[in-house]
Amino acid sequence: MRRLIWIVVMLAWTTVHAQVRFTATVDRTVLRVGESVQLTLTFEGAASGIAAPALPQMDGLKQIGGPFSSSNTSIINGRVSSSSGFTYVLRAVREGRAEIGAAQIAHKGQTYRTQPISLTVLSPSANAPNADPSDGAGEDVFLRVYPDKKEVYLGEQVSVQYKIFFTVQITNPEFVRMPKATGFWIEDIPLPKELPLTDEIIGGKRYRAAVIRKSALFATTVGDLEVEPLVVNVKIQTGGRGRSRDPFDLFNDPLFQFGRQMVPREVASPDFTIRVKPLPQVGVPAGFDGAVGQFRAKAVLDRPSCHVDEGVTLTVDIEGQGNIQMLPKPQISFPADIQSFDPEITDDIRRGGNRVSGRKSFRYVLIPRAPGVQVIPAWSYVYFDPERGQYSQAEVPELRLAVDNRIGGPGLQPSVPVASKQGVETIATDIAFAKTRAGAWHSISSVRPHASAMFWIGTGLPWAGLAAIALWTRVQRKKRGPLLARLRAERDATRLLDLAERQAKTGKIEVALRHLDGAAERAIFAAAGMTAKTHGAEQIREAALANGIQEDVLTGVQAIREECDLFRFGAGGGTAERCQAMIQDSRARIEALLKTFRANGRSA
Amino acid sequence: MSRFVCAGLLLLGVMAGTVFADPHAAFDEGLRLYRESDMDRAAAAWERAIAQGVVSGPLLYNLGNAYYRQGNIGRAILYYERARALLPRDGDVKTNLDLARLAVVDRIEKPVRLPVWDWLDAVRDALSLPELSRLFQAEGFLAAICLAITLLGVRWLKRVARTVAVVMLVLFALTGAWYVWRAALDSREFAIIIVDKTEAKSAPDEASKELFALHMGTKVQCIEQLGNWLNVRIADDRKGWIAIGDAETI
Repeated sequence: MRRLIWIVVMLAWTTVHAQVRFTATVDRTVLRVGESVQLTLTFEGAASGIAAPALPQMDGLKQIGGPFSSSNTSIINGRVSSSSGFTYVLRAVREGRAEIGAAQIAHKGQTYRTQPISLTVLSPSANAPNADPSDGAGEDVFLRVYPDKKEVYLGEQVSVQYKIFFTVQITNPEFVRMPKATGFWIEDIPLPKELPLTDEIIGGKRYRAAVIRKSALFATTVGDLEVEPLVVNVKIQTGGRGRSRDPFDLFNDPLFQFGRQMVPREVASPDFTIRVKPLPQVGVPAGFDGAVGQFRAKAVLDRPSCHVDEGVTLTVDIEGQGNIQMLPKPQISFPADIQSFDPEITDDIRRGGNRVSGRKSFRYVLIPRAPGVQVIPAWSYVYFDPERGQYSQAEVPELRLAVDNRIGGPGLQPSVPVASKQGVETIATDIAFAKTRAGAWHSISSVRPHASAMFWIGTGLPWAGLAAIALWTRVQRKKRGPLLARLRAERDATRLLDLAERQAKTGKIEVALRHLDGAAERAIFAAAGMTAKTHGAEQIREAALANGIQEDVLTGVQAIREECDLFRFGAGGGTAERCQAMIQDSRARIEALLKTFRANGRSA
Repeated sequence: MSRFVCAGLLLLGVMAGTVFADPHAAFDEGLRLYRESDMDRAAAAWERAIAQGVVSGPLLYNLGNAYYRQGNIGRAILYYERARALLPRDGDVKTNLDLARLAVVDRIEKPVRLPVWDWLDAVRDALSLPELSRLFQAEGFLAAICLAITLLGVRWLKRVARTVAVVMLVLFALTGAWYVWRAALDSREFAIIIVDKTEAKSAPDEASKELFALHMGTKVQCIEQLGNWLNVRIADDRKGWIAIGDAETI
């Protein structure tokens, strides 16, 4: 799989290689004053006979040789491509950072530019950089390390690149041992999945090169700190060149020589030492807490106003270059009337390029305890800037928070100092005091109520009373049953008579006759003291006569029922007027019967 | 004549006794002494009130306080437990009982049981027996009244009375069951060890083997009494015989 990735990388490279390109490479990036460095400007494309380009602007370097030109022509799948190289020998003349500006060349009306290059120039007496270009030069595969600085301040970043050089086909390197760097905080800088390849000439020999690891080291202690070698394992092709099996016939590229024996080899980078200096002890500003780098600070409240005892969030962002993870908390003096809690800390670290940068956020929850305008005074974030070699401060202006009193309404100011709130601490525990009221007294026997007779008396008495009432009701009902029935029948007879009269007036003859029939029936029941449910018609008649009702009166009322039937089903039919007249006549007869009934004292 | 004199003297004596035996006076006297930190005499005054045949929740609670202040944890717990039977929802009683139990030496591991049983116990003990009896009687009275109205009252009132009567009868039955449940617990007598230490023996005999020792304030369940010996069970279900005077029933 790794081999496949490597092949894809190579293919991508060859595709680019076929295009016009102008590049600048150096054979080393760290050197001492007086030492030389080779700068190679390569023009790649389908052209030849390019004139040597002019040297770019340089700072701290002087040309002592060159240009030495070289050219290379290849035919790939019938396409001719060529490259021309121009090598200059430069000498470092001043300690510090040396710059090679962008070289430019004009070709077919277009101008091509190279990328600027930075070099680190050490003093003549400095230890020879371990990443000396001569290390490993001449071998077909070797590894080099390029720290951008050899001497730093405590907490300052050192960017380290590990680059593999090769002239034969190799597989993707496998990391066997990572470089151990005691005394450093290490941040790995991610690399692209497809490692970019470059051509570099070292000792007059052309190599393919790729950066395989980038790290940012932050010194956490002072002294000469050693960084141990990185060890990788690669498989290299052995034996002479043969015809490639590659379908694209990339015969000119040694990386695409398949079918040869692959032999594993361990390759190690040189170790190197970095001198870590302490931070200056003079002129340390108040509030410095160990931040090293270049930073900006800002603070924002999530709202400009709030109520008393309502939470507000203050977000403080520290942004810049340096060891973001190790950044200390800012020192902010909150007013006495604002209660603050420990901040919630988050960071957003960017590891692109060679420098580690990013943002660290501190989110404070603030609770104002008193109304009014609360002022968070201006403050500054103090850090040491290693580039300038001095302490700096990122200033943050004061913030204002308008706090109103929710209970008392906006603008209410307390007339006494507002106390800061705190929890009530328990100092000691003790039993509760004696009760001062005796409460309800119980006899000792009533503590268990079911053991006392009063409980059973109290419980049973209502039910005994209910039983007595039920019994009395039953007796009364039995005793006064006939009388009650007669009273009810009398009342019903009068009510139905009234209803019949009302219905006849509105023309509802059928309903009126039904009511009249019912009235006559109830009147007879009342006179007899019976109901049809329990007795037959003849028995009822006899009972009525026995109760002292005159026979003619009784017969007259009984005739009403027959008249109703005749009226309802008679041949001539009836009119409303005739019905009313009949009801009037019937009323007289029914009232005569009831009158006789009442005259006999109802209890007959 | 002499018979009348005797009767008069007897009546005076009863009246004097009634005045002297006023439990309120004894309660207030005990409270005054308690405030003067005279715990012995305060406890004696409150004990006198109990001797008159009456008790109240606050009186029993105060007695527990007086014994607690004397350092008599056994009796303090005993009276707090008695007070709790009459004041089941009183926070002070619970607090003081919990504090007093901290001084008990014996730590007896209770068998693990489901939380639902604790919840049921809390429901059962939410009302005291006197409270439950009053509630039970009130519901019975209301149910009887409503049923009487259905027998006697006018038609519209009958309908309302019948509905209320059904509700009251249901509540009456539920409260009755609750009362029986609560009283069943009460019938299982519990006692508190009131001496510093007592040995629980395997038999009601001084020469029998000592099974375990109990200390002041520990609550035990009384199983049976035999002569001067009391068979008790502790919370982890171990049983043993202790001298009857070493514990007092709640």
